[in-house]
Amino acid sequence: MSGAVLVEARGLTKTYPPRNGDAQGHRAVDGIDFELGRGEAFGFLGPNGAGKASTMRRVAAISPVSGGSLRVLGMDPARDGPEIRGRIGVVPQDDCLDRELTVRENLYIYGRYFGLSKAVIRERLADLLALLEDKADEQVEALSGGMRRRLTIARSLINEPEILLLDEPTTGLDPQARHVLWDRLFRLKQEGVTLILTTHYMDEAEQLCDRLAVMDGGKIVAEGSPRELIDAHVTREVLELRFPTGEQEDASTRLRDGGVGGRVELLPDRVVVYTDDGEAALAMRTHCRSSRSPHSSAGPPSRTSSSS
Amino acid sequence: MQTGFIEGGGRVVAAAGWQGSYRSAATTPLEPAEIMAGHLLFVAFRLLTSNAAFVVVMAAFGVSKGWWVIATLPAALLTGLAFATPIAAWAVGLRSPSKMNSAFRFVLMPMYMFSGTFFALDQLPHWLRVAANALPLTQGVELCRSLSLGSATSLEVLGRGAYLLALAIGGIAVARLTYRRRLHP
Repeated sequence: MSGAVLVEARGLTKTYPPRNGDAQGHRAVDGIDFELGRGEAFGFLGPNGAGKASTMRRVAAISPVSGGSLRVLGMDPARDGPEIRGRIGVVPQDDCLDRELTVRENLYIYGRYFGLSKAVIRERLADLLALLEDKADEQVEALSGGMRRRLTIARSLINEPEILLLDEPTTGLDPQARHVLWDRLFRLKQEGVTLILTTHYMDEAEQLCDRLAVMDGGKIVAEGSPRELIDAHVTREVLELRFPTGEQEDASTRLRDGGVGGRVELLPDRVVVYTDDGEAALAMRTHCRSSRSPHSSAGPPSRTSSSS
Repeated sequence: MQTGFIEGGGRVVAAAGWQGSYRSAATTPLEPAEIMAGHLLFVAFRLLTSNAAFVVVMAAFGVSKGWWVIATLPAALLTGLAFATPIAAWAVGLRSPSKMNSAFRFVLMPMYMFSGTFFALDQLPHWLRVAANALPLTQGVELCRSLSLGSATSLEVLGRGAYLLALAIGGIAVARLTYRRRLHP
């Protein structure tokens, strides 16, 4: 089955009914196409409200589509919702754990939702609890954020899913907890689990995903492997220039006109020059400098701040 | 009524909202109607166990006569569900519990006062008595009271029972729609 298409979306659209005086209704997903093969790790990248989570809910068969077509595991989510959900694991953005229950009880109850027998759950618990160190009998309330996230991931694996959907898996976690989770997700991928994740973080997308779709306003605005996207849209270096208040606009115009090279972007607090050679651009800038020198920093684009 | 309201109201708002219990269950093969059925089973369990405690106390203090008191168990269950199912149908769509508090203050509490729970309805003026008789709680109270005292007629039991059953089933029918709308938006 390697290489088989697990998810196929064509012109996928989701419109929510009008709320709070918005007569038009809200088009959260606006006619997107994508395909996902077995064993792939696919990421949706984009700002809040871009339609990432909305797209995930369609794939998870927990929300009907408004238009276009969607096949998940070869089935139609509108008709075969329960069967699709039985073969998918979901890690929601807010953990949705039963806080008053212990780690073990959370996993057990969730397993029962899938109709798994006690014996099967007990067998799988042994593996899954390894993710949670020695916390099996602790109440969820007492766990740290990173540990809760690990429990949510362990919980989503109880039905041995073919596709794992992760909605912002590491948002709000400290760097160490993020690395532990990445490591775990990477191993799952190696074991053949297909991953679909949403994230705001470029570094997470680069670490985990084979293929990325950048979403904005309900549409896919760019798609490809992290390498392809970087080659197509990211320059090797980004020069950041800060000017005294009031001089910024003039300075950016001068930079553009002065042929500093690369794309110049005016931000509220600084001017950013996307270029392959930051030092050269800075040297060029000195030719068209104003009376006061700006603070500057040039370097490779930081992954979290380069948003082109 | 109160147990039906608490377990079918606030708890549903929490499970559909900040607690997330419904959201996590909705990603499994369970359908929204099954999640609703599971919750109502829990409400029924809570109703039965708390009613049983009342029955034991009533029997111990000799308030009720004979074995008929056992029949108040299903009657009180039906009364509780007649409230719990429509309230759950409404509660699942709420984004915050504040409306639930208002419902308790302005609907449930007045109903408590005018349903013959604390004083006999004959003390009310005629028009208010007619209105009070139409309240589901009045029907439930009368049903349980007459059964526990052994004074119930079969016509009365059937009439009041049918009224409460209609409310409970109507509530389930609406809840099937509202649960789907909230859990599979």
